[in-house]
Amino acid sequence: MLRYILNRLIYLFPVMVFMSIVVFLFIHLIPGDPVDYMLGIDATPEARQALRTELGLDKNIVVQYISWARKIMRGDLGTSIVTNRPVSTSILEKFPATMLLAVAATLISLIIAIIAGTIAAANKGTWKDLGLLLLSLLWVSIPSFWLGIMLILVFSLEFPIFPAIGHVSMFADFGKSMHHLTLPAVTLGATLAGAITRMTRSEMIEQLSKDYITTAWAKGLSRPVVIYKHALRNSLITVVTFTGLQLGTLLGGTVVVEKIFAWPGLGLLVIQSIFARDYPMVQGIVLFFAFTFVFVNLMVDISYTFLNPQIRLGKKG
Amino acid sequence: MTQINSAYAGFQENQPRADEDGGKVKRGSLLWARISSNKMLIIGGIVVIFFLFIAFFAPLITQYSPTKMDFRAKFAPPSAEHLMGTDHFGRDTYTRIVYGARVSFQVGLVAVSIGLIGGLIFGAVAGYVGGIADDILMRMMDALLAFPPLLLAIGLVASMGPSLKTVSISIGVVYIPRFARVMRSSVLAEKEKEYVEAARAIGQSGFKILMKHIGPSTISPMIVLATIIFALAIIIEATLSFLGVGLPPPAPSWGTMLDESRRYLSVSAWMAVFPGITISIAVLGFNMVGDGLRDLLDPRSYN
Amino acid sequence: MQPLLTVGLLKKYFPLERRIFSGTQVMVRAIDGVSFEIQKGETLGLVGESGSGKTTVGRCILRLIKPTAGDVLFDNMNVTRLPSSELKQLRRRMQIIFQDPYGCLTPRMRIGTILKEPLQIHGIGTKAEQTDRVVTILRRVGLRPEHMNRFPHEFSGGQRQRIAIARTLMVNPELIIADEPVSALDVSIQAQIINLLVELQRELGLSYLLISHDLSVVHYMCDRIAVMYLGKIVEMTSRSDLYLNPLHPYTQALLSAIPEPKTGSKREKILLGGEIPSPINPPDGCSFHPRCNYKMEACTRVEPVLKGVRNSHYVSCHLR
Repeated sequence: MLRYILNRLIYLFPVMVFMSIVVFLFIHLIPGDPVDYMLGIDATPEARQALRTELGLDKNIVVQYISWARKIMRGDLGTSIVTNRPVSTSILEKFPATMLLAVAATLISLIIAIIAGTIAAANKGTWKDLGLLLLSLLWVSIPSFWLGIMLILVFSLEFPIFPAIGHVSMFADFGKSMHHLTLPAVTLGATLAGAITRMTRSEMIEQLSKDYITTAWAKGLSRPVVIYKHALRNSLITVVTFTGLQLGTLLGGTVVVEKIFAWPGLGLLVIQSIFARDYPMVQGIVLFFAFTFVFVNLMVDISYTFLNPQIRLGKKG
Repeated sequence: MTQINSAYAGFQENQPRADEDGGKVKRGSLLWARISSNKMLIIGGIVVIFFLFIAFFAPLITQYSPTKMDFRAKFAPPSAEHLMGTDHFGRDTYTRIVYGARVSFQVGLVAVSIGLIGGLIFGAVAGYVGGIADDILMRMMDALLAFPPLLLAIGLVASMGPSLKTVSISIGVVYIPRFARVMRSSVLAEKEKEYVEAARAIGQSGFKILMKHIGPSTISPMIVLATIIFALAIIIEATLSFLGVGLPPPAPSWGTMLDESRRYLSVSAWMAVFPGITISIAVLGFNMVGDGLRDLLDPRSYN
Repeated sequence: MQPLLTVGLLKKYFPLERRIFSGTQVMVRAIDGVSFEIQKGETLGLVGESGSGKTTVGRCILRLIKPTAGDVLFDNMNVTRLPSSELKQLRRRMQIIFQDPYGCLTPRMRIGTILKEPLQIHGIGTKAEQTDRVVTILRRVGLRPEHMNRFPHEFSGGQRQRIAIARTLMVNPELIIADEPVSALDVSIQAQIINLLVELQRELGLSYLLISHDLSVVHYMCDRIAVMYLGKIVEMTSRSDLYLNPLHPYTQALLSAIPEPKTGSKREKILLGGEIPSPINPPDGCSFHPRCNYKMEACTRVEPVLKGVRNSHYVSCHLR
């Protein structure tokens, strides 16, 4: 078990190195002088030189990378050009809002997907199934930002039920917080739900065709019990794992949703930083997102291995 | 000589189609039957061809210019003059949507081409050569895969400066690893088969084996992936433009149109409706083609 | 006379796991010192159970696998030490027929393309000449010229094996290694393919190395036969000699198991106890001794050497 974790870490290390190289190169993709780009034309030569030295742009590229990488490992993601505060501080500040959104969205999508996927699988081949399949296909095709706009149109403007923008902390006023959370979370969750529904459906279909289900039918167990207590429970591991892997899409989605609903999280921050040409911030956030994804994947892998008794107990036939 | 022929002729073997001369025709019609019964493929195919059509013939089916402003006709609802209404600058929405198809197709085509070719090369080398090359290449691919695609695209485009070219290239690069993985697993699967060993035994070079023997068996999953990635490319381009880091105005991107519509939702909801529907239908079309192709080319895949 | 093919003390060991940090590597001894000769126009049979290493021998001769030790001499060229750039000419003179007719032909290539490929690789003939040759060879193996445009999956197993044979003939080879050429085919088809091979040999002066576990096939086709057990040759002699006078206990047991068509004839079946041991850890001394009914004390300690008993009858056993 421990060996498995170690193995994975050894594999992941070069991957993370490559990832950091990619992010590091963002600054160097800028056509022309990055410092000019970031500070604008009316910056003083002293300011330019100061930034150049701070970012290490006057040294050779390999040395630059190494010093940058060392800082990262210590947790120093650089300093924002706009706010002059450490990037990591800003990230930690805005992270909870994004987390809240992400968790809410995931819950919503799981609920929708599991229900829909189970119904579809249990009624495989019927109109219910085909309808839901088509719906989920459609769902995957609708861009999240359009869904968000439509939701605002209907639930905020036409029928003022939910607020369109703004965020209230959970700890300040829970009710109001949930109120503000609704539209963004539904937007984000709905986009995810399509893919998870299809996964749930195919996994359930596979489980339902297995021998232990036939045994359950033969034992005379009622339909809901067989489907929910037995087949669903065994499908859940795969479904949850799959959901964990959707984290990438989720993180990308937060950028869009946060912009639409002015939700003050990391996604909104990254967009603002791009327009402000605050490269250290952009790099810091992208790196943070990517590493988070890797970390979550690793956790999912480990917990899957742990939960799946076959692997844990050493593959007993 | 005659001895051999008589040894063969004198025996009744279970002869399959190869001995009848109708073989060629039967093969073709079997394929056609499978295609026509595959509704996903048909419907999706129609949608895709429709969009291809309007993208190609854009100037012929529109009367306005996609960029010319007309402030007297701002925020017009759909009418006989303006089929889908106008936007905040008075530009005809229908025209912009049609030209937007061009944009989406251009981006999609370039992005998929880059992804496919890049992925093909990396995947084939990693799969066939194996060993350390495989380890290194796959780790690089995994590194790219670890980024949420949208974020990586944003990072690349923002750095290089947004334009049609940079958007297409960035999206292509983002999706190279997916193609590489598929290619690699196909190559790995075929590499161990006996016909590859047979090709080596007659003296064929490794490169030619990859191209002539293994190659054809790797194409179908790549094509299925290509259609799916095309759909994703359209969405990402729209998203980038929506966020303001995509095609710079006044380019008629569906995403930009949606972004512009946000500010004027209370004034004209029509501005938001049409671009969104169009994106959804286009993406849906490509997804259906991808699903249909997958069913066609690999009947074993679960439905 | 100079033999066409000489194999000397061929060894091939496979590592069991890929170890980055080397300690003592566990090895599978697929071939453990095999030597034999094939004369021009002769057919040598290589017989053994699965796991005896006979398939690996065929692959090593063609250098599809790199031998761990030993030499393979083809017409005085040392195959094992040949630089890879010169392997191509070798692949013209030596060919191989594989066991599985369903796997050895590239699925999406037309037959014509498959057959033309050897000619293209070695730059033989113009396009028209290549097509002519394909037609000629197709006819020779009992198929029709129209078959050039078809794909492998349109043919039956027997027909595919004919195509495989045709492929080996395209470049006029001298030696053909036939690795279980008929094991995957129906019994009725087997006879046709075997007959085809025999005819071709007579016509073209080919030499064959026939690898098989089927003793009746081997009896029909081969001039001389070598019996393999656990990576080594335990007995080698002419066909008649082997079937009339088998000297090694393993050979005797194998022969006794051949079904006898004549009713009323009694053949004592020699039953061997145990199973074939793993090639990772072969027994000490004679590797056959755990299953041998005649084992002596020496057999458990000392490994017997393959030596000639009388006129080219070789055996590796302490009893002789």
